[in-house]
Amino acid sequence: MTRHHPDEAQLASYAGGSLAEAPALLVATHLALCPACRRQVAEYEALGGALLDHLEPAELAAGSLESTLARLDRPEPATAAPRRAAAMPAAGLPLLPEPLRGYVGGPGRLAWRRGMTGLKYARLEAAGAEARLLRVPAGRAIPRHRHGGQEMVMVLEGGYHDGDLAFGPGDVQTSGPEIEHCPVADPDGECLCLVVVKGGFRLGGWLGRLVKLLGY
Amino acid sequence: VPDEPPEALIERVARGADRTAFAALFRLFAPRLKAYLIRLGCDAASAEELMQDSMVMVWRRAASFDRSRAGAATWLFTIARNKRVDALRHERRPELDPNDPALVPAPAGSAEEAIQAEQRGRRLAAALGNLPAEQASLIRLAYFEDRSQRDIAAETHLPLGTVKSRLRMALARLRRALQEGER
Repeated sequence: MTRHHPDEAQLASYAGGSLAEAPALLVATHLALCPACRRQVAEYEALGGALLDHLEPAELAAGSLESTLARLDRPEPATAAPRRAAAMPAAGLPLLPEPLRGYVGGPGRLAWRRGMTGLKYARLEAAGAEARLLRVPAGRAIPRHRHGGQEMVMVLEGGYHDGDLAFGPGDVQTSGPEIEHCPVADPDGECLCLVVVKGGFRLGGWLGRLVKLLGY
Repeated sequence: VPDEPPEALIERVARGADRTAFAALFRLFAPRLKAYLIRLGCDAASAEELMQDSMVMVWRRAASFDRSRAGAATWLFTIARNKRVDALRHERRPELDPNDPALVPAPAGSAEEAIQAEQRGRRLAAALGNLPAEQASLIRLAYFEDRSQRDIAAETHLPLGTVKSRLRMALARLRRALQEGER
């Protein structure tokens, strides 16, 4: 069971389509691990569907149905297929849930670099913000730091503590730029995380604002 | 069949590549999907194009429709939403794969919840229909036109506090409608 979730504004923006790709990748991967958040997102999507039902219909272009019908038998362009990866772990990684697995790709796709104090990280190609996988050796602290913008972290394997808070697989921590913290990997094994940093944090969408104002 | 529910139409498309069912779905949803895309800021031509793209996806993905997960309107909404994200941002929307072996399933006993998904959409639609007109129009402005409450206040000539309290009331009513149905 996950204990720490994306905040409701993030779930709502994901459902409404206004969350940038990198944080959306993190949220969607959390959803794979968290039935409770899947349900929340389904509710926001149902609200979208209900609103759609109530919209005043727009006028269609002449021959709209006919030209759509004419397209039905054309083969689907290859790029339209969703990015999916075989259910095989990439080298040295646990079996990651989709959609993250598709972003990581097959064995050898990740270029791991060494960071400070024994950390290793690998960038993922995800537009909108910087997304990377981070491996922290058992018991190692990430030196006290602040972020330029917002940071979201999700544990994929192992765990860490940030003060009194414990984070395990599927748990999400969101920290604003004002937060200075010093997370420490749990002593019983390496901690693998997905980290998304600032840049593409477009929580300015309608739902983000709405939900924040409403204080959910 | 004139009174066939849209869920059944999608299932007919899935089973038999049924063009009559597809045309019926198109007449039901295409004008509203286009209206949705226009509300999000597309001009008429690109809204038409994205709407047609979305309806083609309905045809191609009909087999993945599962009325225990979402009602027809909700499913179509998510297809158009994804099309717009892909087209306008040149990004691919990261999507959950419900058949992923790494997915953590909902705990046993929540199967009933899943069956209710289709009804949840209907219940929300009904609750939306029962909202006072001024609350419903504010929710639409906020959801579909991606407006801030401040913009909405300026446009509707309402004080910001009124916009906030009406939106709060409207959302609380919608939530209550969902919870009541689940008891």
